Amino acid sequence: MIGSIRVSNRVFYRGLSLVLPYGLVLAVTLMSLIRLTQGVLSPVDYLTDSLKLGEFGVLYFALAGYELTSMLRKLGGQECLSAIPGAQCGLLFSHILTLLPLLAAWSAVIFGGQAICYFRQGLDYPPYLLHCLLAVILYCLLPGLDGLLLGACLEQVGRPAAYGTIMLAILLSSSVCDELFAGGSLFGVSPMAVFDWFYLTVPNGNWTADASYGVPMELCRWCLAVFWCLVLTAVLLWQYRRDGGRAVSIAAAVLLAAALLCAARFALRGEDDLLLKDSRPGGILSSEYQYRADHPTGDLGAADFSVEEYDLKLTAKGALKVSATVKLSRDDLREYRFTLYHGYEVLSVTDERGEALSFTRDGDFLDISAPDGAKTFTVHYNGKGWKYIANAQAITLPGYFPYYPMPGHLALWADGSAQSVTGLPPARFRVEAATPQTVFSNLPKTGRNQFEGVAETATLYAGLIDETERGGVSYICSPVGREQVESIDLERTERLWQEWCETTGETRTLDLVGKKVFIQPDTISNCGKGDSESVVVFDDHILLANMNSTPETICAYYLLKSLPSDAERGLLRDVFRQDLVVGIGNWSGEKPDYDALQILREYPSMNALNEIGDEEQWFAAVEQYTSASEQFHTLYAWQCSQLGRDTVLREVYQYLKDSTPCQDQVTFLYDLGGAC
Amino acid sequence: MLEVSHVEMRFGQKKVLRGVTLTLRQGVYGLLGPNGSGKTTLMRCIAGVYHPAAGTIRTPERIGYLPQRFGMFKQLTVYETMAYFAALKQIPARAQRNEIMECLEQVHLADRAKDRMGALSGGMVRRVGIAQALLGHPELILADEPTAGLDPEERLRFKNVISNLRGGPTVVLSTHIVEDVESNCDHIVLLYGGTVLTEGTADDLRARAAGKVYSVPADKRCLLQQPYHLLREEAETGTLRVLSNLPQPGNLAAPTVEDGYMLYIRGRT
Repeated sequence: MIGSIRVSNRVFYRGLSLVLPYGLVLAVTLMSLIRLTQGVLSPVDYLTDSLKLGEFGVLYFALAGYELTSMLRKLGGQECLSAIPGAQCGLLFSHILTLLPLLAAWSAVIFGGQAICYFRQGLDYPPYLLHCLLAVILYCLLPGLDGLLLGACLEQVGRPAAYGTIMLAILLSSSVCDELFAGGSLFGVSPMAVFDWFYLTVPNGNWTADASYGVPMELCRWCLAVFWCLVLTAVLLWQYRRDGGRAVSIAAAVLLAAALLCAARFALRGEDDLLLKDSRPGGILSSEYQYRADHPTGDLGAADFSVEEYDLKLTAKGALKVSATVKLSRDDLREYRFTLYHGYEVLSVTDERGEALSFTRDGDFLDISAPDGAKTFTVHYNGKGWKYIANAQAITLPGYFPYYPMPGHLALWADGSAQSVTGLPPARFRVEAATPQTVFSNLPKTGRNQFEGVAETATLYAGLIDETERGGVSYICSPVGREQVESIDLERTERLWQEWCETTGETRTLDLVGKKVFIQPDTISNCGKGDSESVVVFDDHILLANMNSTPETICAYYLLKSLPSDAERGLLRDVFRQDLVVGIGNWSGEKPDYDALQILREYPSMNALNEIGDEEQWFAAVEQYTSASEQFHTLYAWQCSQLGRDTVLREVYQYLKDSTPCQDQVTFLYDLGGAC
Repeated sequence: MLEVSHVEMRFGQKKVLRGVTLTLRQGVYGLLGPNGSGKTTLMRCIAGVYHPAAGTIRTPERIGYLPQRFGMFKQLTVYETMAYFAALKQIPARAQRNEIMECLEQVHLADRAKDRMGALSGGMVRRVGIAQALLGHPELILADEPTAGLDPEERLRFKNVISNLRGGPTVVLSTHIVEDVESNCDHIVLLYGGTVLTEGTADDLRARAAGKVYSVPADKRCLLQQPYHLLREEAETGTLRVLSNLPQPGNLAAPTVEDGYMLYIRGRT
């Protein structure tokens, strides 16, 4: 074998045909990393972008694997070796071993880029560096190895067929199919269900990693990468079973069996809570919208009971599995109405004696029948929580999301975005989370991943996050991009809120100081988020969406949370928000013409323009709408200059808060102050 | 000793070897037959490249094999190529250098040991192929079309190499060139249509054709009695060399191995 390795090394390094392309791949990789380093990227964006280089690796190592292993056949020396037992097999694996250090070196360069970025940003969070290493292994090293093995498997095939196969494999393993077919469906089945089997490189181009979740590296993704490694190695061994003898045949069979196990695990990924940020029907980008379109929210209503105690036993491996024991305030009802996110399948409900109770599920609603009354239920359920992921990689379960049964029929969705559930009466929570990760909660900690205390709700977070203290406040967020915590000034935020309350007449309070602050992961912030989720305040903790959390943004989103989010007043709401967050200023010019705003009355939002079927008319309308929107902004600024900003803020806020406004948004703003 | 017993080989529906049985002892054997007779397939079966569909092949442990087409990595030197084969044949490291140089000497390539394989001519590469087959003192040497691509001088050298092997290993040369067999081999195995037609010495083949080869003046062509087989026209002497069981005009000629070979082949067709 040593002789074969020596030969293989000499063949590789003495020929420019393979060394030069490797140098090129290395140079492109380095240049890309340097370019990324020069850009103003957060470490996690840098990680995402640099992992896309993995496709280069698959391409180069597949071609190099093919060229190196097929070289002897093309030269006519294979037959001579085949007469010597084990020689062919030995040489083949020597070729692979020759390329492996190059693959490792190339992967190390990519990881080196991550490490440089890590140290340059002054991060002090070793788990993130480990995460980067694992990500490089999963999305660069293993796909490269798969490519190399594929190339070697094609050794006996002619160049056109081999190159064609390799190109097809590159296409299938890259994000191209994902971008082409993710949104499609064939006979009700997403083509991605098939393409997923080949999808080895980093998730698609539109995809951004999450500082808390990191790069998706769920178990099934590892299984897929390992499956291809095992299967291709088994194929290679099988091809040389006669040359290698019985041991090779046995090894091939063992590898194939292991590959089948990996394949089975991957095939069962449907049970896992995966972060699938593509447009496939089941992915987090579109699944909830589709579900809400198909399942209108039923009748809402508060519960006529309250929960005194929750005992939650959670397991977060592939997906969330919960056993929730609920102690109620009264036992004289025949039916108890709860809200539990529809993604969780209720397996059983038992009473305190362990006897099964009947229940019905209607979307997010869970109604439990207890003909003889019951004081305590235990609900067993498992499943997936859309963008609120809970698996072995991370847990993102904000307390406003009903991942446990919340009393009453509550609204989780309104006006095209997720709603947060707040205002529940306090209850005693006992939470036990079975996961190797460190879980953070608003509740007092009683043991490893065990929490107990009285609170409105229980928020549970885990992943690439940590707890840091600043100014006496605990912040739970990802240390990667923790700089946003620096911009949070809770005292100033409270003062600003007071000012705005005086201006607008808002009566709610915003008490922030002394509470734990959870910074939401990007996935929650960027996906289906409404104003309701931007700032969620509980008695003991606050959840801030991952944004530039200045006092203005916190107050603005908290203020907007109480406003109806109907499309008819969307434009004015946007202008109002803009004014609150960055200010719009005054306009001392002429008041915009009312007729110029006519299209805004006809189509209150840009989406409404989609009603126009004719393409030409649509383009004209969009142009007109854009111009009118600018005029609308100008009108707001003009009103500020005429009436004063405080007056406009107050009047607009009252108008937006009005559940039955008698004027459309354009007429209201135009007529504001009676200046028709 | 090489024992081939009832070996059958097929490629798809086509039966290439049909129960070949041979016992080859020490000496130089020529495996002779027209193209498509199964020579290369039989050689590959013996070398272990192919696994026969039926029958058994018993070979000595140490085999040297020169396939019909031989090539090695162009990036390696001649010496490195030989060292690789030496390692594969598990020749002890301390003995490798001497043995490699010895083999290269035999094929007159010792002075090109440091040259890259890519810099060698086709004939030289072939000689490296012969040299690698000689490595490790094989008890059986299989050479498939060993002289293909060699110039006359190199063919002569090859003949000398084979001569030097006499009394040593069993050597099997596969070829369709009768002259090669005649000049190099002690024994001849005639293969046709996947079966052994005959085996024996060159003299046996010549004897088979004795009294059946005629040298007929070209102007008496019209007097030739059917059936006969025209071996060749000899322009220099103005005669035709004819093979026939019937008396023909002209003189009986001294038979050659080629005459015996043709007699067998014609007899089958």
